Amino acid sequence: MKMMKSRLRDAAVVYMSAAALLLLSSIDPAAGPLTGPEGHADGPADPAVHRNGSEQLILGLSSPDEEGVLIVQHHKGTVRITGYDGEMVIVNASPRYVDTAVVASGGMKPFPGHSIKLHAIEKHNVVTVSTNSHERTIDLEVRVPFDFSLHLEKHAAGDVHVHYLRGEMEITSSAGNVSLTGISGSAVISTVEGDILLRFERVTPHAPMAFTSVTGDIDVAFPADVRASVKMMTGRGDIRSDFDIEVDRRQAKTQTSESTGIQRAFLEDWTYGSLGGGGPRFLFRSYRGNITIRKSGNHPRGAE
Amino acid sequence: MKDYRNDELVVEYIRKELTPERERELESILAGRGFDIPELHELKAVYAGLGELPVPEAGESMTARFYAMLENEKRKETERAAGRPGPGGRLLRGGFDIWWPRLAYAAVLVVIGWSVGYWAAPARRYEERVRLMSSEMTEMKRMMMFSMLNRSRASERLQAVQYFNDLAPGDDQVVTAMLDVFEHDENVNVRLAALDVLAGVISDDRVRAGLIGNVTRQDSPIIQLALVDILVSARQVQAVEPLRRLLERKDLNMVVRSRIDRGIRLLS
Repeated sequence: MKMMKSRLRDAAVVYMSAAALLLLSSIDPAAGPLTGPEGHADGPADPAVHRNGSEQLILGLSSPDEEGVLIVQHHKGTVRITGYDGEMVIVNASPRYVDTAVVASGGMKPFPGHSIKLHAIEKHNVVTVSTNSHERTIDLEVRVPFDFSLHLEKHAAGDVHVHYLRGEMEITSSAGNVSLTGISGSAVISTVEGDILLRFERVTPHAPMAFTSVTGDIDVAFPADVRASVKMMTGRGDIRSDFDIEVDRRQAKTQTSESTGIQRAFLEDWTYGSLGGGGPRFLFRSYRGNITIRKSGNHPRGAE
Repeated sequence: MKDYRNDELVVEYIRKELTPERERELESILAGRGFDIPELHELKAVYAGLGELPVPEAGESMTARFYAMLENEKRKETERAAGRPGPGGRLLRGGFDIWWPRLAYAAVLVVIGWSVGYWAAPARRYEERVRLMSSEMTEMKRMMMFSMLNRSRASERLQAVQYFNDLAPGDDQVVTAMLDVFEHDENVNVRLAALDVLAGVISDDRVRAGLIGNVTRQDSPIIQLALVDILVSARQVQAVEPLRRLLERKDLNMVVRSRIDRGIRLLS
């Protein structure tokens, strides 16, 4: 009886110290202020957070065990999104040209918190982030748990870097390169002038993908055992691959002959083929750039 | 599920196209399911022989017998009217004498019909069921794909557009849906995929009007390029005017601008 009591006491001590540790870790000052599902940083919130006019917001998820979605609308500046081993979404926004602003205004520093506006909201595991990057160049950095899908619209100059995410990557960029490394899932990406570089570790079976660009190169690495039906077209560039793509000329021909007498020259350039015996449709189209489809782990540009 | 080879056998059997060796194959399958093959052969012979049974000529004696029978019947009728044996008793006693060979013959027919039906019908029912199921599946999949066009994930919408491209790009409902996707979907690549479907049915007036009307409405350079290519390849002269209007835009992408210049030259 006595033994049992002491065991119970031991267990209680262990439990309480674990709870204390959890409590301590949650108020770690380095992590910045904890906000609820919605956070505003467009006012002078916590002065400790402002470093050169940058802002930080940390959001919790409604269901931390489930997959999340990050929605970002960004104009000028780079966007960096990284998956990490944690449960919070940490958003950092910093103005690009702090010094020039100070010089231009004759030593007058912008009032902290008024320089940039960062807004983030979480609802049912969907996190939406926006800034006033249409007014000034803002570099945005977001850290999210690994299991996150991304929905990013990039409306002006600035590169996009995405690392270590598992989910669907949906990116539309008008200027600037888009690079994604250590990705598991699927991707639908479009740029106007920037290159697309993507390194898949795993792909979602049966999910169609599309990669399109006007002048950018498209360079995508898939696992060696990927199964897909590829449809490719480049106006002035080359198509290269270290996969054994079985080129299907027949399909291209049928498409042309179906055209009821109308000449459809634009279809002549499409190349159809299959990877690993075929699967969901992967579309690659660049008007001025090259297309490279490679096996993961076989990339000399050292992207990973 | 059934073995595909067996289905082929059944189809050949229904069409009476079975070669002797294929027939033996079918028999071995039937034997495997507990059918007695010699019995089946007998049944088949009986069934084949039914049509060849001799029908006796209506001769003199037969006519006489017929009238005698008729007389007999008439007499019985008057007897019954006089309230002698009841109708039930008469049927059991007198009726059975006359009807039993026909009843026996009918019974044989029922047995044969049932046996043959039992033998052949499951296959037919299966075939019908498969056809019904596949048309139901197609309809269900169609509905599913229409609803998938409204999903939040671009890859799901791409999948739906691809499905319609493979199946029925010219279908009226599909054209409406594809025009809607092309004009309103938020993702460039999904819009591009819908445009690709529409390009295949540009002979449709609605599609042609929709594409030409969108020349000045689409802001994405990729869509603009693809649209110019499609309209120029299909020799849509009416597109020249909206293309000229597009050229007036100051923020127009340079690649798009040169493409339109070339396109207008080709069309006019």
